[in-house]
Amino acid sequence: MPTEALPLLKKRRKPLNSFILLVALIVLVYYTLVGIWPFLYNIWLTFRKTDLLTEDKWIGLSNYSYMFTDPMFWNSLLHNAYYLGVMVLVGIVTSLIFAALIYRTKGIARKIYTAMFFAPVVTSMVAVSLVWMLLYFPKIGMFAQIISALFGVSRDKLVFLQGTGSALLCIIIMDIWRDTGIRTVIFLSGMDEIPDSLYETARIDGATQLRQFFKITIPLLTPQLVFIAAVYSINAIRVYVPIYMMTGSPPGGPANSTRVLTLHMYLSAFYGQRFGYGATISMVMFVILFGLVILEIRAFQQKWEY
Amino acid sequence: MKHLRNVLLVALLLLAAFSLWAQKAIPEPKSKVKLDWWYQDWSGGINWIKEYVPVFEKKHPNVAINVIPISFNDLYAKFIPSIAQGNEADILFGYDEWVVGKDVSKLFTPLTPTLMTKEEFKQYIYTPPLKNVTAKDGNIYGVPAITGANAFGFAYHKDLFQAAGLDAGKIKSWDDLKAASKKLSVYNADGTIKRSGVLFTYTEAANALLDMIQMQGARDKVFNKQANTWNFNIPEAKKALETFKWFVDNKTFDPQSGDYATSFPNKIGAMLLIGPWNVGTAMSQSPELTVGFILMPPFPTVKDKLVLGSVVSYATYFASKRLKGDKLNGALLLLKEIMTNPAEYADIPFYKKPPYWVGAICLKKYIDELAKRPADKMNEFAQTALTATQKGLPAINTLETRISEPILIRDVIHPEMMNVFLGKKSVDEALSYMTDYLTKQEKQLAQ
Repeated sequence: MPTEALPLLKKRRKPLNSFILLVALIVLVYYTLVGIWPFLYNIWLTFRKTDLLTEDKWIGLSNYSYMFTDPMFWNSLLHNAYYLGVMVLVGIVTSLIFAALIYRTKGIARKIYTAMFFAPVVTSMVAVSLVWMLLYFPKIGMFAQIISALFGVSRDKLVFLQGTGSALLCIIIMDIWRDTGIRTVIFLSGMDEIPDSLYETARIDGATQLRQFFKITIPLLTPQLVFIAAVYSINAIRVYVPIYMMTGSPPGGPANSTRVLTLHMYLSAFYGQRFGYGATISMVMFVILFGLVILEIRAFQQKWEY
Repeated sequence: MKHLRNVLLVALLLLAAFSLWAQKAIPEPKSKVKLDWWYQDWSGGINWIKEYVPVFEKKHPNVAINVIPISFNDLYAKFIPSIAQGNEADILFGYDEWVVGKDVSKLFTPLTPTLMTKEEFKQYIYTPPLKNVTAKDGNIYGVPAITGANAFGFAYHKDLFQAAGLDAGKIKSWDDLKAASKKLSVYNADGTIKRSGVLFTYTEAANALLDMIQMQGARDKVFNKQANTWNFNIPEAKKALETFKWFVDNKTFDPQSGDYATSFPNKIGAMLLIGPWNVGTAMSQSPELTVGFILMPPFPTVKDKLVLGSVVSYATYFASKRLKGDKLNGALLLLKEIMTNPAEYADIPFYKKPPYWVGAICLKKYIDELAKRPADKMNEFAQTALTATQKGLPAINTLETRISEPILIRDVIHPEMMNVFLGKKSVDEALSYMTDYLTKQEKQLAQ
């Protein structure tokens, strides 16, 4: 029997192998063209002074030395760090609260709440940014009027996107609001997986609901917490659209108070026509993002035991 | 001797005849061609060009023009990269400062001698705007048509002026401007500004700062081309920035009054320092508004010394270098029509219908026509175009920096001015930052 089956298997494997090879080759070519080649080209650009068309010159490490002494680069990096800190921390806390509240509801109410929180997630970031920009209009915008009416704050102080101290925070709040739904759904699915028996045992032992939340729910949501922290850290480093859309012309204002790395890279490359310098900033972003991705992978590979 | 003179005369006549023939040498396309025209998407401009395209197409039925509006930011960002990739539009709208210091012969189709000779070109277009679109070989690669967004003057709401009993025509100095802005400002009960007398919310304030420094004769002090250095730590720069700060300190300008595109049409400000284009934009976005324009007065203490365009900005039309055959002919015909029959093109915003335009124009023949035009064929906008061109173009004094306008103006000078307006930095701190940052970048670009 084995002696008869072997040639048949061999015959079948041949076309299968060439098909796999063909598919692998297509993927490899595609990946080389859209992944590896641009990456290598980007590294090459970091050593050049070029506008891509009329000028192309080797300048060694000049772009790197310029970048490390560029105050706008450090300013942008600081803004990214601030974005990351607030976005991850406040984003996780608010979503956890909403998830815990929705978890207590049942049936149709739960579905309605989930859908309600999820709706902004599927809305275009450009559209959301434009609407929030109007809501944030200084002094006479809707938010200014509401806050002024409710808390008696002088409308003159409610400048939102026009304030150097408040503009970035306003954008982060919008971004947190927009993605609250997806984080809440992830936490909800995590909560659904926690066995009821754990809560029952805790209740018998006299644990309060708050204690149950901190001693059972939070620890058992660690995989979700790590996932969300990692994904939103990456998003905070890559953030671009809301800042570009909401800070008008010039983007990153007022007074560069909302300039982040992606914007600094874009403006340097396309506005300044310094593609070499833009590529250099993108390399730093790559290193940061690569570090975060490694952390994310490690977090996922870790086996959680309780 | 007489024979030689006759030969020379005949040769000159032949040359003249040849140049006339050369001018008429662009043939009509044999078959129908469709040309894409990337055009900056601002309401007044798009309305204008959409009015003009049918006029051109009627005269050249084999050429169809497809105007593609693109926002300033996107247009600038894709201008050079798209040419590098070979996917730019057939005809391109751009500002000449985008190609400062570049070899334009690598970017666009040469217009001389195909369209006409260099000398003839200069009969139709003023010489200063041709500087950046002329290659090292002397050939010209673009048609500068109008002045762009430099600090040209102040758009103002006529009804607010009338209500305050002000006559815009009498504003001839910065002192007049300060007095008017004070009179036009409206305050809330708590003393905060409800309506600013003047708005400096857009980047023209940064352009104006440079112009003001130049008006005081400090051109060589603020920028040294040979040494690639900037120096704002000079009394002239301080005086210029303090002139702007006066409006904040005296509560006639609220720097946090929001984006000019919303705040000015909504009358959160009575005047707006802006380039010539905002009148058209305001009128097309809010047709109920009646907006006028005041030319920028000379700097305080400086008599009649107008300087415009420290950072030059001419809206220019280019033909793609990829164009061949009928498409090339179609594009050249369009550019030639704008140059040689400018009234058909320029009268649309300057005279015929709103949204009106004000400001200097690079088309010499049009200004010649305006200068001879009877009063009943003029309006205040055509009159402003005439005055602005005659006064403004000779006053253009570009700083020959390697730093692009969006970086110089939008990234560095304007944000620093905002820092001063918002009280985040002192005048000296902001000027010192500008000096260091721009010098560092200028030196790197000069490598």
